[in-house]
Order: sequence, then structure tokens, then C-alpha cells
Amino acid sequence: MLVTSAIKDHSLSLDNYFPFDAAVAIEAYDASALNTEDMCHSDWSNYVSSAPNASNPRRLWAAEWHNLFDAGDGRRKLSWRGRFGPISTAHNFYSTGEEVLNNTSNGEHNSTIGLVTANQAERAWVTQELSKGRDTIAANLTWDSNAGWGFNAYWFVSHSSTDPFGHPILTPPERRYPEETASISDEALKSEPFFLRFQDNRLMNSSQGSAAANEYLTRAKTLAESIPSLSFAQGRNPVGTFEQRNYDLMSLKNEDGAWPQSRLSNDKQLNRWLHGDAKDVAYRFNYLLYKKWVELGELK
Amino acid sequence: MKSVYYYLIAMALAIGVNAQTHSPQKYPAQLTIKVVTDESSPVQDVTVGASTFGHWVQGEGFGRDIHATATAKTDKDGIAQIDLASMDGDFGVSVREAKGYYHDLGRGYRFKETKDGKWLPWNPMVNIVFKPIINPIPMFAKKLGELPHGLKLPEVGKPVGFDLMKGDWVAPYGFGTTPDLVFTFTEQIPYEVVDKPFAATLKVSFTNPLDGIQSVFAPFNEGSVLRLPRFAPEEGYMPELTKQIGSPGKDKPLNTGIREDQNYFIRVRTVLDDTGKIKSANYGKILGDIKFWGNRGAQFIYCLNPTSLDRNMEFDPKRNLFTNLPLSQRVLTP
Repeated sequence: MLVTSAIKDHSLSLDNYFPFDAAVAIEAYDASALNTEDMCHSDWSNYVSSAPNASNPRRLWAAEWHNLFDAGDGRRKLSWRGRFGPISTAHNFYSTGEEVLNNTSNGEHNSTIGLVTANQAERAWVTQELSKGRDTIAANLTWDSNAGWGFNAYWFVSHSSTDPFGHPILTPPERRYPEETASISDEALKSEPFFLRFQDNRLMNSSQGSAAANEYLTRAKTLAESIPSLSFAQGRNPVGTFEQRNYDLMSLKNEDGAWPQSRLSNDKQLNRWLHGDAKDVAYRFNYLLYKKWVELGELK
Repeated sequence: MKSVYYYLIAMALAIGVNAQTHSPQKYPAQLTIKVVTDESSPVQDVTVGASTFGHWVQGEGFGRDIHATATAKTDKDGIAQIDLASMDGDFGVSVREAKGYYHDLGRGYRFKETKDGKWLPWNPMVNIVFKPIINPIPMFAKKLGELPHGLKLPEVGKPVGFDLMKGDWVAPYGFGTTPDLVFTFTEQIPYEVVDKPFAATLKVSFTNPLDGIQSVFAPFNEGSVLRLPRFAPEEGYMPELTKQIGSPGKDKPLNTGIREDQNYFIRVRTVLDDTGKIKSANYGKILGDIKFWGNRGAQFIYCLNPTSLDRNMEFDPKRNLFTNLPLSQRVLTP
């Protein structure tokens, strides 16, 4: 993330750039590369408009909030989509054996099942993305949880119900059912998002929001802490816009396919090229990666 | 609110609470593993193992997962039973390395739910195909297109042959002489740069009647390292394959059409006798998908059996008929 930002934001010039273990959303390089169903928090999967003429069916989501604003408004940039764009000098080294950056399906992640499992390394990046805005221990331990997949109490309503004796009652205010959100205008969502409010109140202020979002640090912090990725991680997957400049680390194990016995004795790890294995595994097992870097970079 | 959390965390650390002593509940799980060869014969006396998440330890980066593991030996029916308590019901299962067999890459098994203090379904059967090493042979095997040895489709809108035994384009684009595979790259919307709309098609066709290609799907990074069936099929080859790539417009998905579990069998150099029966032909396999991009770059990995009518696909990576290949062109798996 840091190097990519240096290239894109600060004109760092590199002949070759070899990101590996990269904890960056693919959509940052390829705005169209979304895994929306899999990277959607399960509480939000029904908050999608099914109206055929809906201009943005997911307009309630934090990841789509930027689309409420006109071109030129700084808040249009509060999205991971196309944050960096393609980088012609980058060669992506990803691992289909990744644990930390592993993909998920249907929003499954670790943060809802207790302290220890919340801290699993497996799918930690997905858990981080799906914990944005949530009141989980994992989220609160690591960043200021706001926006994201939380719900803004401003839009809560009471629902009619009946008690066990059949008497009508009103529930305490709770989040609206998806069908109750159609009356919320796009304009209203600009100042009161359906998701949890941003920590930085200026972003939701009609006169200050654009300028605040244009501040480099505000944008970076908001993206990191508040806007969930809707795509998988670069370090686990090829990036389409890098074309043939993608290399699966799983194919860069030594020529006999040998791998440390401690891994092979662990049926969850086996031959997986895990996060950090460029340094955690002995050179005799992973030397092809270094040879590949030398080869591509013409470093001999 | 945040400060309250920090206070609680500090308190927890101060009194020495750690993740292991406050683990969520572990529930017993039992599973039966049946190991058979690819001809369905039980494999006796091999070690099977299962691992599941135990606890997490803090460390560099995202820390490390520590797994609990149990092993057992298979009986005469190839069956072994594993008992192991688990927090999340998510297991990795494999057969350990055994002489005379291809390495097993393992697979996952996830229990559905906990009920009455145990993981359900109770004692499910997990079937593993453990492929023996029977007859690995030398083949023409080459990985094409991995940088820095990129493979560029030489022409737009014009068929170009590729010689699998020479490992190169047919002349004048290379030193190949026999067009085993014929690639035709066409552009519907010309490519400028990858993030602008473009559309292209790659047709893979053949030279001879009854030459062809057929899909075979095999899970990626799972099961035997001999990923595909050990014999190419006799029938079922299609005369051509068409693949598309493109981004039809702004913010529309870049469609590469690439599948992780895609592979192919191929038949080339087919010669028919007077009755139309196959007199000679060479069989091969393409490991992974055939990939191509708008910039005319292409990638694929193939193995071709040099012996006519021999459908054996068990490649011996140590006896590649192409010698002195650079690392990026070597095929390291059978």
C-alpha cells in the first residue's frame, strides 16, 4: 500500500515493482474487479434495491456513498475503486495458498465467533474489511470503527408487533427493514448515511464535506477505517489489469515441490505458501521466488 | 467508548489472561477417512491426518494460527477414523506422503453445526483419491508466457500455428513446422490500454480431422498433485475452442474468462485410415486455463505425449523432452 501510494501519489519512479503479500483491495487497481456478494456483510445483503430502474441498487452502502455526489466533489474519491489504477511496472506476486489474505464466500468472516477465533490469521484481511463500522472486539482493538457495515441509529424506527397475549406493542427503535428504506432520498443520505456516521463529521456537512475529503490524510484515514472493500485482496489473487504480470507463489516452490516437514504435518497448512513465507521458509524451499525477482528485474 | 475497551484490554493483560485460557468452547468431532486409488482400490497402511484451528498466537504481522492435529493409519479397507475437538468445525484433511504415491495436497472439510455438545454430522465419510505413481513418462512439456519469457500472439485476425513438439510458433513467427494448435486472435474493440474498453476473442483450432480439445475440471491446489486423470480420453474432442476477454465499458467487469479449475485434454497430429479410424495421433494435456489478454499476451502450460496413440498423461518432470529450459518455462508437476 505504501509503495503503491508513493508511486501514484508522490511520483516515485521504479523500473520494476514486485508487490507480494499485498494487503490491498484489487479494486484499487481495477475498478471493475468486484466480489460484491462475497465481500458483503451478511446483515447488509438484503439492503439492495431490486427496483429495475434503481440507478445504484447499493446506494445505502458505505462502499457506494461516493456515488451520491457529483463529479468534482471530493467525496467522489472516498472509494477504493480505481484508487491507484493499473501500474505498468508492477508484477503481482500472489499466493493461492494464502491464509491471512484468503478469500471468503458470502461474507463469512471470523469476527462474530469470539475473541480467539476473532484473531485467527486465516482470512484476517477479510475480517478486517467486514468489521469496519462494526462493534466487534477485533474492530475496536485495531482502529476507530465507523461508517462501514454499521447502521446509523438516525434511521432507526419502531416496528409494530404483538406480545405473547396478542396485544399490540411497538419494538424499541431498530434498523429499518430493507423495504422501509425506499423513502430515504439520496440527498438525505449525504448528511445522514444509512451506515454508521463517519468519525469525521465534516464529511457529512454540505459545505465542508468536499474539501475535507480532498485532504490527503482525511481521505487515506477514511478509506482505511471506514470504507469496506468489495473486492478480494491482491496478495491472494491475480489482478486483471496487470495482465500477464501475475505470478502465483504456489508455483514458485523449489523444483521438486519440497516444503518444510512442519507444514506438511499440519493438514491445514500442508504445501500452502502462507503469508510471509518469502522470509519464514528456508531459502532452499522458496529460492525460485528470489530467482524470479532477479530475472524480472535484470538484477544479475 | 474506545477508552473503555482499552481499559478492559489493559486489565486483561495485567491479570495474565491469554487467548488459550479463554478459548471459546471446543466440541468433539469425528470423521472417517476412506483412501482409495484412482482405480477405487483401498489403500492400506497409509497415514491420514486432520487439523483444525486451535489458537492464535500474537506475532509479526497478523500473528500465527496454531492448529491441533490428529493422525491415524488406514485399515485393509482404506479406512481410518479421526477424533479431534474443534472450535470452528473447519478441518484440513490429507494423506501423508507415502512411497509410490503422488503427493496429496489435502482438502477442506467443514462440519455443519454443533448440537448436543458435538459437531454434526457425526462421523461423516471423507473420500480421498490417493494416486499411485505407475508409469511416469518423458513428454514435451512447457510453460509458456510467464515473464520475462512472454508469449505474444503474432497476428491479429490471422491464424497462426503453434508446434507443440518444437515449443514455438510455426514459421515465419518461430521455428515450428507443424501447426498443432492454431490460434486466431481477433479484436472486436481494439485494445489501447487495459483500463479502457476493449474486446477480443481467441479461437483455438486444429489442423487435422478428429484433432481437438476437451475441458476437464479439477479442483485447484487440492487432491493429488497428479491433477488430471492419468489417461486422456479417446472420445469427446471438440474441433475448436473460443475464449473471450474484454471490458465492455467504464466500470464494467474485465472479463478474462479464466477459471482456476479449468484444464484441457488435446489430441493433435491425427491421421485417419481409409475407413476413417484413427491410425495415429498424439495426446496431451493443458494444465490450467489458456489465458490471453488484450495486449496479445498469452499463457498456457502443456504436456504432449510423443508416442502415437499412447494416452498416458503421467508426466515425469525429471525427464522433460525439452532440455535446458529457463525456470519460467519448466513444468514442475506431473
